[in-house]
Amino acid sequence: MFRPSRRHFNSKRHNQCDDKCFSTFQRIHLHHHREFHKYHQYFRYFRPAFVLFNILILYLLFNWVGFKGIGIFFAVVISIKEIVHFIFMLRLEKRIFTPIEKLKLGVDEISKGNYNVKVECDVPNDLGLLIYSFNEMAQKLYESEKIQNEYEENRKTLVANISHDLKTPITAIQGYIEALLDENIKIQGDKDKYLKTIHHNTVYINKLIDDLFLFSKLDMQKLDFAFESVGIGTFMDDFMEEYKFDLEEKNIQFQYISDLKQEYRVNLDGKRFHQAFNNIISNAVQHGPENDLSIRIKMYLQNDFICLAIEDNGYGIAEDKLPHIFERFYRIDIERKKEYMCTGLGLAIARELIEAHCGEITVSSKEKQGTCFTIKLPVLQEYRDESTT
Amino acid sequence: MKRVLIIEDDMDIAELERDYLQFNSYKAEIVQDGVLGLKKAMTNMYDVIAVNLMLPQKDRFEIIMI
Repeated sequence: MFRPSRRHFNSKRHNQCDDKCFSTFQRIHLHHHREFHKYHQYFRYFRPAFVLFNILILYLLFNWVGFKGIGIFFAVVISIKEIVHFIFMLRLEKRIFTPIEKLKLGVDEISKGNYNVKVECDVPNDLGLLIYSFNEMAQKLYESEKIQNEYEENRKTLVANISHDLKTPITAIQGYIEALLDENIKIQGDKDKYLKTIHHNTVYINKLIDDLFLFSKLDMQKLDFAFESVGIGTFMDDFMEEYKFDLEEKNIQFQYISDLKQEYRVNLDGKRFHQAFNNIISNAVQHGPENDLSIRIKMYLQNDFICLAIEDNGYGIAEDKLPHIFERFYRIDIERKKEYMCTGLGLAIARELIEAHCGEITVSSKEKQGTCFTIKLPVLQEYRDESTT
Repeated sequence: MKRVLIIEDDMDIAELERDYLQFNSYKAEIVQDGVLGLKKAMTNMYDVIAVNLMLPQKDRFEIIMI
């Protein structure tokens, strides 16, 4: 389809080609439009002239033919023919010409790149179907253009974020190395501190690149998953033991409750699930209070889904920020937390990983009370059937 | 001793700037977000204010314009 207003091609050559095509298109279009308009006008204005002509014939028939019966007969026949013709023309105008005219205006808008058009014309014939299909096409084009624009906007933001997040630690590393190399600066006492900062920043860059690599693989659906059927109760019991030990070592209260009455099986890639789960827990630890942080995990069954609710008693997330927390590079704390290795990709990765398990992550939060992330994983159908019979 | 205010959200960079300034006999203070930085700049006298390009809470141009 010809779309003169789209700007996918940036090169001069493409623009020149576009202009040439556009002028040819306009020339042909104007010619056809003039032809159509001429015939349309002819149909519209020739009718009254033709009716007048018929009246004149009738008048002559009455005046010149001596036998009145023949005159009346012809008058009736001509009148009926004219009425039929008039109705036919009226219907032709209403059902054919007007819809074509409206459809043409719609197509013109599309050709200009404006996809947000709807042709309002309800006629019960093939043209009506054509207009309906045209509206559907325009709607789909509009939606796909919207998605494409959003995607383009996201891509630009992503590139800007990556550049900024990589540039900041590299600038710090460069600055500290230059300070170490600068013989005029006596930093002997600070040398260790500087080296530690350099090391910390390189570790952060490494983590950021790892996260970006993982995220781009997930985004392109090129990450290999090793799914296996796992008994979720046993799996979580073992998994939570590890967490209990790790978190209690950091003086974080940890509680795990399972409400499952029997064992259910789910399709799981242990490594990837661990990664997603870890990102959520790390998030709670990084953004939670330093003292008296408590994390509570509850497992239950709901509508054929195993739900894992991860609750913390942290600061909570403001209502306006909540819808954005799964977005790439979205940070609740505006200060960069390099010391916590916070790349802004953790929750986005967690969501992608859980969605790859055909599950979903939801979040609810109250400021100053805490946040609850819920991971939902579908129970395997065959095992569910066995357990219910 | 001349006073410098560093408004910078990245602590590593801010500390490095402070070290250089202190080495060159300036008194440097660090603030990590724009609003606090602006408050400090309005209440205290500084000879130089160094503002980062991307800041939390307040745009650096807003700070510079005020």
